Amino acid sequence: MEIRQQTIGDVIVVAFGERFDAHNVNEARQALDLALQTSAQIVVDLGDVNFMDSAALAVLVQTMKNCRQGGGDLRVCRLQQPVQVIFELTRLDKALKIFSSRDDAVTSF
Amino acid sequence: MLAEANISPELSTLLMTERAAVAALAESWLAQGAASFSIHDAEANLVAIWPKDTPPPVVTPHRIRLKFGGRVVGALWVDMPDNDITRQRLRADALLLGRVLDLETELENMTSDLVDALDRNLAFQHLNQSMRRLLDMPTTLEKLAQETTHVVNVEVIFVVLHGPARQNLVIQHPPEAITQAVLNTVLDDETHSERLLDDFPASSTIRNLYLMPITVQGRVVATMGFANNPQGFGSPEKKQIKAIADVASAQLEKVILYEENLVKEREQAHMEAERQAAAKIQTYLLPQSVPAINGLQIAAQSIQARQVGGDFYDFIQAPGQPFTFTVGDVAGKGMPSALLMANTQAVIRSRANTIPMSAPGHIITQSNADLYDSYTNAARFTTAFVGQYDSGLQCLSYASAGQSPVIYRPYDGWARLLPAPDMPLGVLADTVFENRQIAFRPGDVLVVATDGFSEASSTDGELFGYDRLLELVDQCALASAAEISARLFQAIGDYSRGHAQDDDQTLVVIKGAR
Repeated sequence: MEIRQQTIGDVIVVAFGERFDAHNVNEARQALDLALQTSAQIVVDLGDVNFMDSAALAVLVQTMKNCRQGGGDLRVCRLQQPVQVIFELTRLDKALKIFSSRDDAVTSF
Repeated sequence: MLAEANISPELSTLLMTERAAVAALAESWLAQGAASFSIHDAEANLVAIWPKDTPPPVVTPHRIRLKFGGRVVGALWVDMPDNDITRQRLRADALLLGRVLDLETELENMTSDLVDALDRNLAFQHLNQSMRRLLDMPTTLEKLAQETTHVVNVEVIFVVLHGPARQNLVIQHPPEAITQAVLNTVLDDETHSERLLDDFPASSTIRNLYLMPITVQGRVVATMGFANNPQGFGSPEKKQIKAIADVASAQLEKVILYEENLVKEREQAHMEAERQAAAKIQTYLLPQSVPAINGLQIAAQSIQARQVGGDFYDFIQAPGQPFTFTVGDVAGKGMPSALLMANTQAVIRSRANTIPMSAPGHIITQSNADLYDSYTNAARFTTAFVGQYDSGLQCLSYASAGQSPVIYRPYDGWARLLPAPDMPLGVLADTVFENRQIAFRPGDVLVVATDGFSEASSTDGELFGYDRLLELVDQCALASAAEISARLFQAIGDYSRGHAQDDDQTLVVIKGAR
């Protein structure tokens, strides 16, 4: 899975590609742990993600906890429709702040 | 030939192998007028004479000594008047015959060496061959030491397999030839280099010792020692030893790899056995039968994708409490999720049993508090649905922590999704889970499933999705709970045929009955 990272001010934006599931959670976790070493304010851009399973969601939840422990937070943005549905059905939209654009997510901190 | 003559090997060679050449010389002398030509041993005894049966000359004939390798081995006599020419010719004859003896000896030695080399070559082939099928280290080393004795001409051969903390395996041929003390001093050298040792004290049984390291994949795994070669260790011997070391290296590598493989296989078999044991326990954790509850038809089934899974369901009937059922799905796969599944199912059951008259929302809220730390440490969460049936009020209370799909079909309406009011367990420490209620009269259907159902994939990669599920529930709503469950599983099975099951599929169907 493609993973791209960008730093905008104090915020780190990590973007994942296409299918985010149990097969690539390890890479994703590593990338997010690495980002955490620089900043506890992380935005996950899911614009290219068309499928997420529970393992992938678990990585986001765990990273959120780590960010909050570090005085920051994890925000997600640009959810595609199927992924938006997953967040709503599991009510993870109550746990993670969701934004429609990357800029909104970055400036929300 | 006269019996008393001392026929040395050299004379024997001349008279047997080269008889024709000697006879030709003799004939030539006779043709020149010599009365006789004879060969004598080192003591002047007659060995052979031409013409045959002529008595040996008594008047001093012309003689010349026959030499070979600096020794006098005999003499040539010619019965003819002595003069310069005769003397010169006889001298030439003797030199020639001496030269013939030289060449004969050289030929013999070369033949002997060749035969020897062939023998050693065969022994070397045999060495290689004999170790080929061996897979056991001590036997291989034993064979190596044993067969090498036929290849290299030494008194003692030993092989030391270097083990950890000097637990070396030593094989000697002949056995016990070299004492442990001597071996220790020899092997004390950590450099493990190829070298010759020849400055042993006179009291030692060792005169010379050649040490050859044997490497496998760049590491010195053993050392071969060759002790007491009477001819010393020259270039040919070193070549032989190098060739043997190469063969030994190949064989030892094979044995080492085989042993490593065995260990790996054993570990894998062990792990597989553990997994199977865990899978068995998991099947026992799920309810073994469906309870008979007044006013309800109940069906439940779970099909795991792997040996161990993260889905669970449970039926709880505490005395004086309404019938409670739970369904859950731990995020992720494999053994970690299975462990959390067992723990979570137990915690929820425990809360349902011990909190008096507790509503589902309360049960889940307490369970979340209990489980939060475990889930944070495990970096996972779990969805869960807790339902409670009140037969008197004909209604179902429920709380849902992110559980989906949950489908409700009233007897007089269409199937619809019941969205979860709250997020999964283990996400936030202090979530307060909401309690909701729906009417539950005869004919009403509730299907609580895990997302293995909605996410079942066809070979095209298309997911089953919620619409198909809703449609299906509408289609078979009039059937019994057991029938509905069977039909749903069949539909998923048909849909995803040819595509491996990726996620656990769990279903609890509750139907209102008279």
